[in-house]
Amino acid sequence: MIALAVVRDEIEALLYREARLLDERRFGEWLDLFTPDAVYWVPAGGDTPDPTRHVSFVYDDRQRLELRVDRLLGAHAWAQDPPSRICRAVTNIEVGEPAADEVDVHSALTVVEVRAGRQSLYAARCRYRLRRDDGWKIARKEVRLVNRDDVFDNLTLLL
Amino acid sequence: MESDIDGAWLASLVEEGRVRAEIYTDPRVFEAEMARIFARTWVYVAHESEIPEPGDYKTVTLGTQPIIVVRDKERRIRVLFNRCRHRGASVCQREAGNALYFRCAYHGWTYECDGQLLGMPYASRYDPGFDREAMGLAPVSRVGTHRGFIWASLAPDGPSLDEHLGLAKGFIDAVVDVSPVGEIALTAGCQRYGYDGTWKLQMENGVDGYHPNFVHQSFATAMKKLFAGRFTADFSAAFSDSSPAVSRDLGHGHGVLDMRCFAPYGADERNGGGFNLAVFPNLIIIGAQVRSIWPVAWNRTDVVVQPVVLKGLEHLTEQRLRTHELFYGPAGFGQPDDAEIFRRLAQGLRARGLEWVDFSRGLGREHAEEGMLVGQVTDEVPQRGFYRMWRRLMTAPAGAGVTSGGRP
Repeated sequence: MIALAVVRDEIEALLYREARLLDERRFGEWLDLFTPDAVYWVPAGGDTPDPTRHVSFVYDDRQRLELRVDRLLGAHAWAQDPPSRICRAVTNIEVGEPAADEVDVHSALTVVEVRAGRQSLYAARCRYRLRRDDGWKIARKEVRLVNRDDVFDNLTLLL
Repeated sequence: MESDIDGAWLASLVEEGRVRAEIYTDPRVFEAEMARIFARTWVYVAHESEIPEPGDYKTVTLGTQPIIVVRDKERRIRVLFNRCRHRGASVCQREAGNALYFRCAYHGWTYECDGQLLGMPYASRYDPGFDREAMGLAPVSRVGTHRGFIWASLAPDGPSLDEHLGLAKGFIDAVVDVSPVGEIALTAGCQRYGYDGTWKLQMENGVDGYHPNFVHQSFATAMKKLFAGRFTADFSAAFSDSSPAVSRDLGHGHGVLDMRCFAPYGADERNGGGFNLAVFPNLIIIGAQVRSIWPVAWNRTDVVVQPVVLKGLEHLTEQRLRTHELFYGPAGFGQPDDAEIFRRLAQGLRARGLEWVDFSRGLGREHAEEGMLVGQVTDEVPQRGFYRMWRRLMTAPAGAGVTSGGRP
Protein backbone atom coordinates (compact mmCIF):
# COMPACT_ATOMS: atom_id res chain seq x y z
CA MET A 1 0.00 0.00 0.00
CA ILE A 2 1.48 3.30 -1.08
CA ALA A 3 1.08 6.20 1.29
CA LEU A 4 -1.63 8.58 0.14
CA ALA A 5 0.77 11.51 0.43
CA VAL A 6 3.08 9.85 -2.08
CA VAL A 7 0.18 9.21 -4.46
CA ARG A 8 -0.84 12.83 -4.12
CA ASP A 9 2.65 14.06 -4.97
CA GLU A 10 2.79 11.81 -8.01
CA ILE A 11 -0.60 12.95 -9.23
CA GLU A 12 0.10 16.64 -8.73
CA ALA A 13 3.29 16.19 -10.72
CA LEU A 14 1.33 14.48 -13.50
CA LEU A 15 -1.32 17.20 -13.68
CA TYR A 16 1.25 20.01 -13.67
CA ARG A 17 3.27 18.26 -16.33
CA GLU A 18 0.12 17.80 -18.41
CA ALA A 19 -0.62 21.52 -18.10
CA ARG A 20 2.87 22.48 -19.23
CA LEU A 21 2.85 20.08 -22.19
CA LEU A 22 -0.43 21.61 -23.39
CA ASP A 23 0.75 25.19 -22.88
CA GLU A 24 3.93 24.41 -24.82
CA ARG A 25 1.98 22.70 -27.63
CA ARG A 26 3.80 19.42 -27.01
CA PHE A 27 0.66 17.53 -27.99
CA GLY A 28 2.42 14.31 -28.91
CA GLU A 29 3.93 14.01 -25.44
CA TRP A 30 0.53 14.94 -23.97
CA LEU A 31 -1.04 12.02 -25.83
CA ASP A 32 1.50 9.72 -24.21
CA LEU A 33 -0.05 10.55 -20.83
CA PHE A 34 -3.26 8.74 -21.84
CA THR A 35 -4.06 5.03 -21.64
CA PRO A 36 -4.95 3.23 -24.91
CA ASP A 37 -8.61 3.06 -23.81
CA ALA A 38 -8.74 6.67 -22.63
CA VAL A 39 -11.70 9.02 -23.02
CA TYR A 40 -11.31 12.80 -23.23
CA TRP A 41 -14.66 14.48 -22.70
CA VAL A 42 -15.73 18.13 -22.85
CA PRO A 43 -19.50 18.16 -22.32
CA ALA A 44 -21.72 20.87 -23.79
CA GLY A 45 -24.65 22.39 -21.88
CA GLY A 46 -26.82 20.83 -19.22
CA ASP A 47 -26.30 20.06 -15.56
CA THR A 48 -26.24 16.30 -16.03
CA PRO A 49 -24.60 15.68 -19.38
CA ASP A 50 -24.86 12.14 -20.71
CA PRO A 51 -22.67 11.44 -23.75
CA THR A 52 -24.94 8.63 -24.91
CA ARG A 53 -27.92 10.99 -25.19
CA HIS A 54 -26.52 14.54 -25.39
CA VAL A 55 -24.15 16.16 -27.81
CA SER A 56 -20.73 17.10 -26.43
CA PHE A 57 -18.10 19.53 -27.61
CA VAL A 58 -15.59 16.70 -27.48
CA TYR A 59 -16.04 13.02 -26.73
CA ASP A 60 -12.83 11.45 -27.97
CA ASP A 61 -11.57 7.94 -27.68
CA ARG A 62 -7.85 7.47 -28.09
CA GLN A 63 -8.02 7.20 -31.89
CA ARG A 64 -10.04 10.37 -32.28
CA LEU A 65 -7.81 12.21 -29.83
CA GLU A 66 -4.81 11.28 -31.98
CA LEU A 67 -6.64 12.56 -35.06
CA ARG A 68 -7.46 15.77 -33.21
CA VAL A 69 -3.82 16.31 -32.33
CA ASP A 70 -2.73 15.48 -35.90
CA ARG A 71 -5.16 18.06 -37.22
CA LEU A 72 -4.11 20.77 -34.80
CA LEU A 73 -0.44 20.25 -35.63
CA GLY A 74 -1.10 20.15 -39.38
CA ALA A 75 -0.96 23.10 -41.76
CA HIS A 76 -4.66 23.43 -42.58
CA ALA A 77 -6.45 23.78 -39.25
CA TRP A 78 -7.36 27.39 -39.89
CA ALA A 79 -8.97 27.84 -36.48
CA GLN A 80 -5.49 27.33 -35.02
CA ASP A 81 -3.68 29.44 -37.61
CA PRO A 82 -2.29 31.46 -35.90
CA PRO A 83 -2.16 29.05 -32.94
CA SER A 84 -3.50 29.93 -29.51
CA ARG A 85 -1.01 31.00 -26.90
CA ILE A 86 -2.07 29.60 -23.57
CA CYS A 87 -1.28 29.70 -19.88
CA ARG A 88 -3.32 27.52 -17.57
CA ALA A 89 -3.52 27.03 -13.83
CA VAL A 90 -4.46 23.66 -12.34
CA THR A 91 -5.62 24.04 -8.75
CA ASN A 92 -7.90 22.63 -6.02
CA ILE A 93 -6.55 19.14 -6.57
CA GLU A 94 -8.42 16.55 -4.56
CA VAL A 95 -7.21 12.98 -4.72
CA GLY A 96 -9.76 10.29 -3.99
CA GLU A 97 -9.15 6.99 -2.27
CA PRO A 98 -7.13 4.75 -4.60
CA ALA A 99 -9.01 1.57 -5.48
CA ALA A 100 -7.06 -1.29 -7.07
CA ASP A 101 -4.82 0.51 -9.58
CA GLU A 102 -7.11 3.47 -10.17
CA VAL A 103 -7.84 6.75 -8.47
CA ASP A 104 -10.31 9.57 -9.15
CA VAL A 105 -9.07 13.14 -8.98
CA HIS A 106 -10.96 16.43 -8.97
CA SER A 107 -9.35 19.72 -9.92
CA ALA A 108 -10.13 23.22 -11.06
CA LEU A 109 -8.77 24.60 -14.31
CA THR A 110 -8.33 28.20 -15.40
CA VAL A 111 -7.10 28.86 -18.92
CA VAL A 112 -6.09 32.15 -20.47
CA GLU A 113 -5.91 31.97 -24.24
CA VAL A 114 -4.59 34.64 -26.57
CA ARG A 115 -5.36 34.28 -30.25
CA ALA A 116 -5.83 36.63 -33.16
CA GLY A 117 -5.65 39.72 -30.98
CA ARG A 118 -8.14 38.55 -28.41
CA GLN A 119 -7.74 37.19 -24.89
CA SER A 120 -10.23 34.59 -23.66
CA LEU A 121 -10.73 33.16 -20.21
CA TYR A 122 -12.05 29.68 -19.46
CA ALA A 123 -12.81 28.06 -16.13
CA ALA A 124 -13.69 24.43 -15.63
CA ARG A 125 -14.05 21.68 -13.11
CA CYS A 126 -12.05 18.63 -14.15
CA ARG A 127 -12.49 15.02 -13.18
CA TYR A 128 -9.76 12.54 -13.91
CA ARG A 129 -9.62 8.81 -13.62
CA LEU A 130 -5.98 7.85 -13.39
CA ARG A 131 -4.57 4.37 -13.70
CA ARG A 132 -1.23 3.18 -12.40
CA ASP A 133 0.66 1.48 -15.20
CA ASP A 134 4.37 2.11 -14.93
CA GLY A 135 3.50 5.50 -13.48
CA TRP A 136 0.09 7.20 -13.57
CA LYS A 137 -1.77 7.49 -16.87
CA ILE A 138 -4.99 9.30 -17.70
CA ALA A 139 -7.78 6.80 -18.36
CA ARG A 140 -10.50 9.43 -18.42
CA LYS A 141 -10.51 13.20 -18.41
CA GLU A 142 -13.69 15.21 -18.17
CA VAL A 143 -13.61 19.00 -18.46
CA ARG A 144 -16.82 20.70 -17.32
CA LEU A 145 -16.57 24.28 -18.49
CA VAL A 146 -18.50 26.67 -16.27
CA ASN A 147 -20.06 28.27 -19.34
CA ARG A 148 -20.60 25.08 -21.33
CA ASP A 149 -24.13 26.21 -22.22
CA ASP A 150 -22.80 29.47 -23.65
CA VAL A 151 -21.59 30.59 -27.05
CA PHE A 152 -17.97 29.85 -28.00
CA ASP A 153 -16.19 31.45 -30.91
CA ASN A 154 -13.44 28.87 -31.06
CA LEU A 155 -12.96 25.94 -28.73
CA THR A 156 -10.26 24.17 -30.69
CA LEU A 157 -7.71 24.58 -27.90
CA LEU A 158 -7.02 21.44 -25.89
CA LEU A 159 -8.34 21.90 -22.36
CA MET B 1 -32.94 55.10 -37.48
CA GLU B 2 -34.20 52.44 -39.79
CA SER B 3 -36.88 54.79 -41.13
CA ASP B 4 -34.19 57.16 -42.43
CA ILE B 5 -32.75 54.51 -44.69
CA ASP B 6 -33.00 55.18 -48.35
CA GLY B 7 -34.64 52.33 -50.23
CA ALA B 8 -32.74 53.16 -53.38
CA TRP B 9 -29.47 52.80 -51.49
CA LEU B 10 -30.55 49.38 -50.18
CA ALA B 11 -31.56 48.35 -53.68
CA SER B 12 -28.13 49.34 -54.98
CA LEU B 13 -26.39 46.90 -52.64
CA VAL B 14 -27.30 43.77 -54.59
CA GLU B 15 -26.81 43.10 -58.26
CA GLU B 16 -27.08 39.80 -60.09
CA GLY B 17 -23.86 37.93 -59.25
CA ARG B 18 -22.39 40.44 -56.82
CA VAL B 19 -23.16 42.32 -53.61
CA ARG B 20 -21.68 45.45 -52.06
CA ALA B 21 -19.27 45.07 -49.16
CA GLU B 22 -21.50 47.38 -47.06
CA ILE B 23 -23.88 44.45 -46.73
CA TYR B 24 -21.33 43.00 -44.32
CA THR B 25 -19.89 46.14 -42.77
CA ASP B 26 -22.58 48.81 -42.41
CA PRO B 27 -24.57 48.84 -39.15
CA ARG B 28 -27.43 50.60 -40.97
CA VAL B 29 -27.88 47.53 -43.14
CA PHE B 30 -28.35 45.43 -40.01
CA GLU B 31 -30.96 47.82 -38.63
CA ALA B 32 -32.81 47.66 -41.92
CA GLU B 33 -32.60 43.86 -41.97
CA MET B 34 -34.14 43.61 -38.52
CA ALA B 35 -37.06 45.80 -39.62
CA ARG B 36 -37.50 44.63 -43.19
CA ILE B 37 -36.56 40.95 -43.01
CA PHE B 38 -36.77 39.66 -39.44
CA ALA B 39 -39.85 41.72 -38.54
CA ARG B 40 -41.59 40.67 -41.75
CA THR B 41 -40.92 37.23 -43.03
CA TRP B 42 -41.29 33.84 -41.31
CA VAL B 43 -38.46 33.34 -38.82
CA TYR B 44 -37.65 29.92 -37.38
CA VAL B 45 -37.97 30.00 -33.58
CA ALA B 46 -38.13 26.46 -32.16
CA HIS B 47 -39.05 22.82 -32.69
CA GLU B 48 -42.15 21.29 -31.13
CA SER B 49 -40.09 18.54 -29.48
CA GLU B 50 -38.43 21.21 -27.34
CA ILE B 51 -41.77 22.13 -25.74
CA PRO B 52 -43.75 18.86 -25.64
CA GLU B 53 -45.81 19.48 -22.47
CA PRO B 54 -48.13 22.30 -21.30
CA GLY B 55 -46.03 25.06 -19.78
CA ASP B 56 -42.86 24.00 -21.58
CA TYR B 57 -41.14 27.06 -22.95
CA LYS B 58 -38.03 28.22 -24.73
CA THR B 59 -36.76 31.80 -24.96
CA VAL B 60 -35.19 33.03 -28.18
CA THR B 61 -34.82 36.23 -30.15
CA LEU B 62 -36.83 37.11 -33.21
CA GLY B 63 -34.35 39.35 -34.92
CA THR B 64 -33.08 41.03 -31.79
CA GLN B 65 -36.43 41.01 -29.97
CA PRO B 66 -36.96 38.81 -26.88
CA ILE B 67 -39.49 36.05 -27.43
CA ILE B 68 -41.00 33.17 -25.45
CA VAL B 69 -42.16 30.09 -27.37
CA VAL B 70 -44.50 28.24 -25.04
CA ARG B 71 -47.08 25.45 -25.13
CA ASP B 72 -50.18 26.59 -23.26
CA LYS B 73 -52.52 24.51 -21.09
CA GLU B 74 -54.58 23.61 -24.17
CA ARG B 75 -51.33 22.44 -25.81
CA ARG B 76 -51.40 25.26 -28.35
CA ILE B 77 -48.11 26.87 -29.31
CA ARG B 78 -47.87 30.53 -28.34
CA VAL B 79 -45.12 32.90 -29.37
CA LEU B 80 -45.10 35.91 -27.03
CA PHE B 81 -42.90 38.92 -26.46
CA ASN B 82 -40.85 38.42 -23.33
CA ARG B 83 -41.77 41.86 -22.05
CA CYS B 84 -44.00 42.85 -19.16
CA ARG B 85 -46.87 45.06 -20.28
CA HIS B 86 -46.37 47.29 -17.24
CA ARG B 87 -42.89 48.77 -17.39
CA GLY B 88 -41.21 46.48 -19.86
CA ALA B 89 -38.97 44.05 -17.93
CA SER B 90 -38.52 40.56 -19.30
CA VAL B 91 -40.71 38.06 -17.45
CA CYS B 92 -38.88 34.82 -18.28
CA GLN B 93 -35.18 34.47 -17.53
CA ARG B 94 -34.23 30.94 -18.50
CA GLU B 95 -33.46 29.53 -21.91
CA ALA B 96 -35.89 26.69 -21.42
CA GLY B 97 -38.10 25.24 -18.72
CA ASN B 98 -41.66 24.69 -17.61
CA ALA B 99 -43.90 27.38 -16.16
CA LEU B 100 -47.67 27.67 -16.02
CA TYR B 101 -47.28 31.34 -15.12
CA PHE B 102 -44.81 34.10 -15.90
CA ARG B 103 -44.36 36.66 -13.14
CA CYS B 104 -42.53 39.93 -13.60
CA ALA B 105 -40.10 40.39 -10.70
CA TYR B 106 -40.38 44.19 -10.77
CA HIS B 107 -43.99 44.72 -9.54
CA GLY B 108 -45.37 41.23 -9.57
CA TRP B 109 -47.57 41.34 -12.67
CA THR B 110 -48.43 37.73 -13.44
CA TYR B 111 -49.40 36.15 -16.74
CA GLU B 112 -50.83 32.78 -17.69
CA CYS B 113 -48.53 30.79 -19.94
CA ASP B 114 -50.85 31.62 -22.85
CA GLY B 115 -50.02 35.28 -22.21
CA GLN B 116 -53.23 36.44 -20.48
CA LEU B 117 -52.72 38.88 -17.64
CA LEU B 118 -53.80 36.98 -14.55
CA GLY B 119 -53.38 39.89 -12.19
CA MET B 120 -51.21 42.52 -10.63
CA PRO B 121 -50.63 43.34 -6.94
CA TYR B 122 -52.78 46.04 -5.31
CA ALA B 123 -55.11 46.12 -8.30
CA SER B 124 -57.48 48.51 -6.48
CA ARG B 125 -55.33 51.47 -7.46
CA TYR B 126 -56.00 50.97 -11.16
CA ASP B 127 -58.95 52.80 -12.66
CA PRO B 128 -62.13 50.76 -13.10
CA GLY B 129 -61.74 51.04 -16.86
CA PHE B 130 -58.29 49.48 -16.87
CA ASP B 131 -58.47 46.82 -19.60
CA ARG B 132 -56.72 43.74 -18.30
CA GLU B 133 -57.59 41.69 -21.33
CA ALA B 134 -55.62 44.05 -23.52
CA MET B 135 -52.59 43.85 -21.24
CA GLY B 136 -51.48 40.27 -21.72
CA LEU B 137 -48.03 39.37 -22.96
CA ALA B 138 -48.16 40.48 -26.58
CA PRO B 139 -48.31 37.66 -29.11
CA VAL B 140 -46.48 37.81 -32.42
CA SER B 141 -48.78 38.27 -35.37
CA ARG B 142 -48.59 34.79 -36.80
CA VAL B 143 -47.31 31.34 -35.84
CA GLY B 144 -46.96 28.40 -38.18
CA THR B 145 -45.51 24.91 -38.11
CA HIS B 146 -44.34 22.34 -40.59
CA ARG B 147 -43.37 18.82 -39.51
CA GLY B 148 -42.63 20.03 -35.97
CA PHE B 149 -40.60 23.11 -36.94
CA ILE B 150 -42.11 26.35 -35.61
CA TRP B 151 -41.92 29.72 -37.37
CA ALA B 152 -43.18 33.12 -36.26
CA SER B 153 -43.92 36.26 -38.22
CA LEU B 154 -44.32 39.79 -36.89
CA ALA B 155 -46.25 40.79 -40.02
CA PRO B 156 -50.04 40.51 -39.65
CA ASP B 157 -50.39 39.60 -43.30
CA GLY B 158 -48.33 38.41 -46.19
CA PRO B 159 -47.60 34.99 -47.66
CA SER B 160 -48.61 32.03 -45.53
CA LEU B 161 -45.87 29.85 -44.04
CA ASP B 162 -46.81 27.24 -46.61
CA GLU B 163 -46.21 29.71 -49.42
CA HIS B 164 -43.00 30.98 -47.85
CA LEU B 165 -41.51 27.51 -47.42
CA GLY B 166 -42.51 26.46 -50.92
CA LEU B 167 -40.09 23.90 -52.30
CA ALA B 168 -38.15 23.80 -49.02
CA LYS B 169 -41.00 21.73 -47.57
CA GLY B 170 -40.06 18.70 -49.62
CA PHE B 171 -36.52 18.80 -48.30
CA ILE B 172 -37.68 19.24 -44.70
CA ASP B 173 -40.00 16.29 -45.23
CA ALA B 174 -37.11 14.18 -46.48
CA VAL B 175 -35.15 14.95 -43.29
CA VAL B 176 -38.06 14.05 -41.04
CA ASP B 177 -39.07 10.97 -43.00
CA VAL B 178 -35.74 9.24 -42.33
CA SER B 179 -37.51 8.41 -39.07
CA PRO B 180 -39.69 5.31 -39.57
CA VAL B 181 -42.49 7.11 -37.70
CA GLY B 182 -41.95 10.38 -39.55
CA GLU B 183 -40.92 12.36 -36.52
CA ILE B 184 -37.70 13.90 -35.24
CA ALA B 185 -36.78 15.40 -31.87
CA LEU B 186 -34.27 18.08 -30.97
CA THR B 187 -33.71 16.66 -27.51
CA ALA B 188 -30.03 15.76 -27.67
CA GLY B 189 -28.75 19.09 -26.38
CA CYS B 190 -26.94 21.69 -28.41
CA GLN B 191 -23.64 23.29 -29.19
CA ARG B 192 -23.52 27.07 -29.44
CA TYR B 193 -20.97 29.04 -31.33
CA GLY B 194 -20.65 32.61 -32.43
CA TYR B 195 -18.61 34.86 -34.65
CA ASP B 196 -17.93 38.53 -35.21
CA GLY B 197 -19.84 39.03 -38.42
CA THR B 198 -23.24 39.27 -40.03
CA TRP B 199 -25.78 36.42 -39.87
CA LYS B 200 -25.65 36.25 -43.66
CA LEU B 201 -22.16 34.72 -43.62
CA GLN B 202 -23.52 31.56 -42.02
CA MET B 203 -26.48 31.42 -44.38
CA GLU B 204 -24.14 31.74 -47.38
CA ASN B 205 -21.69 29.20 -46.03
CA GLY B 206 -24.19 26.49 -45.07
CA VAL B 207 -24.96 25.84 -48.74
CA ASP B 208 -21.58 26.74 -50.21
CA GLY B 209 -20.24 23.79 -52.20
CA TYR B 210 -17.12 25.60 -53.35
CA HIS B 211 -15.34 25.85 -49.96
CA PRO B 212 -15.18 22.31 -48.48
CA ASN B 213 -12.05 21.18 -50.30
CA PHE B 214 -10.19 24.25 -49.08
CA VAL B 215 -11.59 25.23 -45.70
CA HIS B 216 -12.05 21.61 -44.63
CA GLN B 217 -8.89 20.10 -46.00
CA SER B 218 -7.73 19.14 -42.48
CA PHE B 219 -11.08 17.46 -41.83
CA ALA B 220 -10.72 15.48 -45.04
CA THR B 221 -7.20 14.44 -44.02
CA ALA B 222 -8.45 13.25 -40.65
CA MET B 223 -11.26 11.28 -42.30
CA LYS B 224 -8.75 9.69 -44.63
CA LYS B 225 -6.95 8.30 -41.60
CA LEU B 226 -10.20 7.28 -39.92
CA PHE B 227 -11.76 5.60 -42.94
CA ALA B 228 -8.61 4.39 -44.73
CA GLY B 229 -8.85 6.63 -47.78
CA ARG B 230 -12.34 5.95 -49.03
CA PHE B 231 -13.97 8.95 -47.41
CA THR B 232 -11.46 11.51 -48.64
CA ALA B 233 -11.86 10.45 -52.22
CA ASP B 234 -15.61 10.81 -51.82
CA PHE B 235 -15.37 14.16 -50.07
CA SER B 236 -12.91 15.72 -52.52
CA ALA B 237 -14.75 14.43 -55.56
CA ALA B 238 -18.15 15.49 -54.22
CA PHE B 239 -17.03 19.11 -54.01
CA SER B 240 -14.88 19.36 -57.12
CA ASP B 241 -15.92 21.11 -60.33
CA SER B 242 -16.45 17.73 -62.00
CA SER B 243 -18.82 16.48 -59.30
CA PRO B 244 -22.29 15.41 -60.45
CA ALA B 245 -23.73 16.98 -57.27
CA VAL B 246 -25.79 20.13 -57.76
CA SER B 247 -26.67 23.37 -56.03
CA ARG B 248 -30.23 24.65 -56.04
CA ASP B 249 -32.08 27.91 -55.59
CA LEU B 250 -35.52 26.89 -54.35
CA GLY B 251 -36.95 30.39 -54.53
CA HIS B 252 -37.96 32.56 -51.54
CA GLY B 253 -34.26 32.71 -50.56
CA HIS B 254 -34.02 28.99 -49.76
CA GLY B 255 -31.12 26.96 -51.15
CA VAL B 256 -29.80 23.43 -51.27
CA LEU B 257 -26.52 21.63 -51.86
CA ASP B 258 -27.69 18.34 -53.21
CA MET B 259 -25.36 15.34 -52.94
CA ARG B 260 -28.09 12.70 -53.31
CA CYS B 261 -26.59 11.55 -56.60
CA PHE B 262 -24.06 9.61 -54.51
CA ALA B 263 -26.59 7.78 -52.34
CA PRO B 264 -30.34 7.94 -51.84
CA TYR B 265 -31.26 10.16 -48.93
CA GLY B 266 -31.64 8.34 -45.67
CA ALA B 267 -29.77 5.28 -46.91
CA ASP B 268 -27.42 5.69 -43.99
CA GLU B 269 -29.57 6.93 -41.15
CA ARG B 270 -26.59 6.94 -38.81
CA ASN B 271 -25.36 10.26 -40.08
CA GLY B 272 -27.95 11.49 -42.51
CA GLY B 273 -26.16 13.44 -45.20
CA GLY B 274 -27.46 13.78 -48.71
CA PHE B 275 -28.11 17.51 -48.81
CA ASN B 276 -27.62 20.81 -47.04
CA LEU B 277 -30.77 22.91 -46.84
CA ALA B 278 -30.87 26.63 -46.00
CA VAL B 279 -34.32 28.03 -45.21
CA PHE B 280 -34.45 31.82 -45.42
CA PRO B 281 -33.63 33.63 -43.22
CA ASN B 282 -32.27 31.64 -40.26
CA LEU B 283 -32.51 27.85 -40.48
CA ILE B 284 -30.03 25.36 -41.89
CA ILE B 285 -30.47 21.60 -41.91
CA ILE B 286 -27.41 19.53 -42.71
CA GLY B 287 -27.59 15.78 -42.50
CA ALA B 288 -28.30 14.90 -38.90
CA GLN B 289 -28.35 18.40 -37.53
CA VAL B 290 -30.55 21.50 -37.28
CA ARG B 291 -28.74 24.81 -37.12
CA SER B 292 -30.49 28.03 -36.21
CA ILE B 293 -28.92 31.42 -36.78
CA TRP B 294 -29.55 34.29 -34.37
CA PRO B 295 -28.49 37.79 -35.40
CA VAL B 296 -27.09 39.82 -32.51
CA ALA B 297 -25.58 42.87 -34.22
CA TRP B 298 -24.14 43.86 -37.58
CA ASN B 299 -20.86 42.33 -36.46
CA ARG B 300 -22.08 39.53 -34.19
CA THR B 301 -24.04 36.31 -34.75
CA ASP B 302 -24.86 33.33 -32.55
CA VAL B 303 -25.51 29.88 -33.97
CA VAL B 304 -27.19 26.96 -32.20
CA VAL B 305 -26.49 23.45 -33.47
CA GLN B 306 -28.89 20.70 -32.43
CA PRO B 307 -28.35 17.09 -33.49
CA VAL B 308 -31.47 15.37 -34.79
CA VAL B 309 -32.85 12.41 -32.86
CA LEU B 310 -34.79 10.10 -35.16
CA LYS B 311 -37.92 8.82 -33.45
CA GLY B 312 -38.02 5.05 -33.73
CA LEU B 313 -34.28 4.88 -34.28
CA GLU B 314 -33.13 6.17 -30.90
CA HIS B 315 -30.66 3.32 -30.63
CA LEU B 316 -28.62 5.12 -33.30
CA THR B 317 -28.47 8.38 -31.37
CA GLU B 318 -25.17 7.77 -29.61
CA GLN B 319 -23.41 6.84 -32.84
CA ARG B 320 -24.98 9.79 -34.66
CA LEU B 321 -23.78 12.13 -31.90
CA ARG B 322 -20.21 10.91 -32.22
CA THR B 323 -20.34 11.33 -36.01
CA HIS B 324 -21.78 14.82 -35.57
CA GLU B 325 -19.07 15.87 -33.11
CA LEU B 326 -16.35 14.96 -35.58
CA PHE B 327 -17.13 17.96 -37.75
CA TYR B 328 -19.48 20.26 -35.85
CA GLY B 329 -19.48 22.53 -32.85
CA PRO B 330 -16.80 25.00 -31.73
CA ALA B 331 -14.39 22.15 -30.97
CA GLY B 332 -15.14 20.05 -34.06
CA PHE B 333 -12.75 19.21 -36.89
CA GLY B 334 -14.64 21.31 -39.44
CA GLN B 335 -16.99 23.99 -38.23
CA PRO B 336 -14.39 26.07 -36.29
CA ASP B 337 -12.51 26.53 -39.54
CA ASP B 338 -15.64 28.02 -41.11
CA ALA B 339 -15.92 30.41 -38.15
CA GLU B 340 -12.26 31.34 -38.60
CA ILE B 341 -12.99 32.18 -42.22
CA PHE B 342 -15.86 34.42 -41.05
CA ARG B 343 -13.30 36.23 -38.84
CA ARG B 344 -11.02 36.64 -41.82
CA LEU B 345 -13.90 37.98 -43.91
CA ALA B 346 -14.61 40.60 -41.25
CA GLN B 347 -10.95 41.54 -41.35
CA GLY B 348 -10.59 41.60 -45.13
CA LEU B 349 -13.82 43.44 -45.81
CA ARG B 350 -12.51 46.47 -43.94
CA ALA B 351 -10.55 47.21 -47.11
CA ARG B 352 -12.05 50.25 -48.84
CA GLY B 353 -12.19 51.02 -52.50
CA LEU B 354 -13.06 47.42 -53.37
CA GLU B 355 -16.80 47.71 -53.25
CA TRP B 356 -18.04 44.41 -54.61
CA VAL B 357 -18.09 40.85 -53.33
CA ASP B 358 -18.42 38.31 -56.13
CA PHE B 359 -21.11 35.63 -56.39
CA SER B 360 -21.00 35.07 -60.13
CA ARG B 361 -19.74 31.49 -60.14
CA GLY B 362 -21.83 29.48 -62.62
CA LEU B 363 -24.12 32.44 -63.28
CA GLY B 364 -24.41 31.92 -67.02
CA ARG B 365 -24.92 28.18 -66.76
CA GLU B 366 -27.65 27.69 -64.15
CA HIS B 367 -30.86 26.27 -65.55
CA ALA B 368 -34.49 26.13 -64.49
CA GLU B 369 -35.79 22.77 -63.36
CA GLU B 370 -39.06 22.02 -61.57
CA GLY B 371 -39.42 25.56 -60.30
CA MET B 372 -35.82 25.78 -59.13
CA LEU B 373 -32.60 27.17 -60.52
CA VAL B 374 -29.97 24.46 -60.65
CA GLY B 375 -26.20 24.61 -61.07
CA GLN B 376 -23.12 22.54 -60.41
CA VAL B 377 -22.40 21.93 -56.71
CA THR B 378 -19.56 24.47 -56.62
CA ASP B 379 -21.70 27.18 -58.24
CA GLU B 380 -23.04 30.07 -56.19
CA VAL B 381 -26.64 29.37 -57.15
CA PRO B 382 -28.06 29.23 -53.58
CA GLN B 383 -26.28 32.45 -52.58
CA ARG B 384 -27.71 34.31 -55.56
CA GLY B 385 -31.16 33.08 -54.61
CA PHE B 386 -30.61 34.20 -51.02
CA TYR B 387 -29.63 37.72 -52.13
CA ARG B 388 -32.54 37.98 -54.55
CA MET B 389 -34.91 37.38 -51.65
CA TRP B 390 -32.87 39.69 -49.42
CA ARG B 391 -33.16 42.49 -51.96
CA ARG B 392 -36.88 41.90 -52.48
CA LEU B 393 -37.64 42.20 -48.77
CA MET B 394 -35.20 45.04 -48.13
CA THR B 395 -36.60 47.20 -50.87
CA ALA B 396 -40.30 46.68 -50.16
CA PRO B 397 -41.80 49.87 -48.69
CA ALA B 398 -41.42 50.17 -44.92
CA GLY B 399 -44.60 49.23 -43.12
CA ALA B 400 -45.76 46.97 -45.92
CA GLY B 401 -46.57 43.38 -45.21
CA VAL B 402 -44.29 40.59 -46.33
CA THR B 403 -43.81 40.86 -50.03
CA SER B 404 -44.44 37.85 -52.12
CA GLY B 405 -41.24 35.90 -52.30
CA GLY B 406 -41.79 34.39 -55.70
CA ARG B 407 -39.71 31.82 -57.45
CA PRO B 408 -36.61 32.61 -59.45
